[in-house]
Amino acid sequence: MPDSTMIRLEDVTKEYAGQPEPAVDHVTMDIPEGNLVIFLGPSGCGKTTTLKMINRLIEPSSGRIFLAGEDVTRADVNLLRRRIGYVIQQIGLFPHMSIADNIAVVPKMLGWERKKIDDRVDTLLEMVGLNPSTHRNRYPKQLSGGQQQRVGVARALAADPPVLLMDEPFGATDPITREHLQDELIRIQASVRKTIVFVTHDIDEAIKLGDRIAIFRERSQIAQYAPPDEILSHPANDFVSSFVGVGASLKRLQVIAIRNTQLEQWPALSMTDSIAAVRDALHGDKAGVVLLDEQNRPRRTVQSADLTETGGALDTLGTPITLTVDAQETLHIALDKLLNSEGGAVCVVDERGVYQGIITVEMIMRELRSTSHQHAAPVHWGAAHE
Amino acid sequence: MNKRLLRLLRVPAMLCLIWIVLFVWVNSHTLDSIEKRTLNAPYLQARVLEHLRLTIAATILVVAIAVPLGVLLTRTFAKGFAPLVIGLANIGQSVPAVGLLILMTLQFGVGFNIALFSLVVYSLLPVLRNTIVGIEQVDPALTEAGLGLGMSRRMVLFRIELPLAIPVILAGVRTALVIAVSVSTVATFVNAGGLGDIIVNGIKLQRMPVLITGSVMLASLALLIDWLGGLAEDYLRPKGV
Repeated sequence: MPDSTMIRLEDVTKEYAGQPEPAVDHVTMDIPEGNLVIFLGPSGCGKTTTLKMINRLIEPSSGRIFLAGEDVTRADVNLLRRRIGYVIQQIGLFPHMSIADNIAVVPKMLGWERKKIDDRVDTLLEMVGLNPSTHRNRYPKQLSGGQQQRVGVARALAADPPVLLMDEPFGATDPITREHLQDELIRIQASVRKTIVFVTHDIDEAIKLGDRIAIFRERSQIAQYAPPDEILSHPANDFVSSFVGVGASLKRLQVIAIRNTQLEQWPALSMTDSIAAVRDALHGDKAGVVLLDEQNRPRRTVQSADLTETGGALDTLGTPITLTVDAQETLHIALDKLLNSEGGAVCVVDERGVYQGIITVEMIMRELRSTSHQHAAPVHWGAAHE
Repeated sequence: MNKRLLRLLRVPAMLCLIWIVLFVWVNSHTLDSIEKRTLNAPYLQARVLEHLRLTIAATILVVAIAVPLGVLLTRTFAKGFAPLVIGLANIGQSVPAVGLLILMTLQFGVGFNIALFSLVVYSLLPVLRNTIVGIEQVDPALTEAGLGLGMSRRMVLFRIELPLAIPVILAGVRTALVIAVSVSTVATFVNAGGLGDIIVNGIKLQRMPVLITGSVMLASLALLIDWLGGLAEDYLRPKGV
């Protein structure tokens, strides 16, 4: 296990009086430091209850909770919560406080100096993509829903807690805003590297955001706890398969980064080379060649059918390249571009536009048949008690 | 801004007009000695002050009793008592004011304190009910967010629930004030003074100018107090809400 554990739930149970079955039934799980872990499951499966037991908004009936190795099951609950950021679906900004005062709630309770708080508020507003000078003194109702939830995230991060709990934070926003907020979260998480527990019932959101996904079934039993690609390629049981639903392979495309795949390599030639050189390169089983400019950026693809008997200039031969895909992107983006490209091939480039290889439909199918990508060996984190 | 100012000054302007009309009308009469005994500045001023003193004292007491009681009745451990207490306050308001006053007097005698006590019982309900409603209408997501950020229950009450309940509580106080102004009139029956004295004089002595002056002064005092209550609601409402 490369990461150290930040949150550990040990044999945690929640029973409610008058209910025959516990809402959460002997759950044990480890959440590694710096990971974004998704709690995914159908409504009423107990995933939110499990989340709220981490900051003890719901007190467990039995079991123990550890935060960074410290048993916090009996710790002072208010002090504990100031160490854990909390974001909820309803956002919960205080309407009678300015944006700055909302963000400053926890730093004020922790007794920070005025100057330090002001600086922190501005830093956080910038981090979540809001202009501090225009937004600092506004009131929540003057902001759109998406902006409000950005402030909600900023407020949760205010005192720089190591842990962030997010309870369906983007559930109430429209699809476009949700997508923006998800991208923002990915960007923020790349710089702050918090341990985040994120509850959702949206499998696509889970796949997009999660380093690991815990799929919950009734009584908060964990059906599978693994990285997204593994959940999609190797569902542990029928519950997971049915929850993932149809289109698991399409969803997998979203979690496989192009840089982690085996690209097809078409021979690369310079635009200044001769037709003969192209003809030579196309001999054998090569499907095509790529013509590069002086900066090694792909300009044209040439396939056997493009070659005519007579010669000609290379800058009119084959198909000009209008679409390329960055190696940082996912196969999902690559496939989308492939479907819109001529010639059934898309060139992969690095961030400077330099040619890296080719993606074809055959190549994508090969990648999907091969095993898990980011994690060569399946990892089983804290399996549920069955 | 100008529109707002106009709306703000509408009630005082109307009251000024009424007073001018009243003054001109009373002056057009030749007052006999009985009327003169009531319709002179020192007498009227003393009655208004008595009336105000009773009203304001009652309202302060009502706020001091009903707001903490209302807060208490929204706490988890005391929630069950809310219907009982509201029921009692309801009875307090349903009993006719004069009846309550007479019953109290039979038991405890006459005077300012008896009038005050009756007034408090009579105008407790709006403040109590509005405090409870004001706190209960606070979005549970806000209290959850507060607790989730590490606020204690007390901090959630004083920093979130009460500030957000203020508009509703103030509306209750305004209602209580207006009730207190009108009910203070019956204080005259327990020898506690107020504008009721003038009205009762007017009726007993069959002097129309006295009766009308008393009634108009009472009505305009109620309107003025209600107007002040409205101002308070506007200015004490938390920003952003």
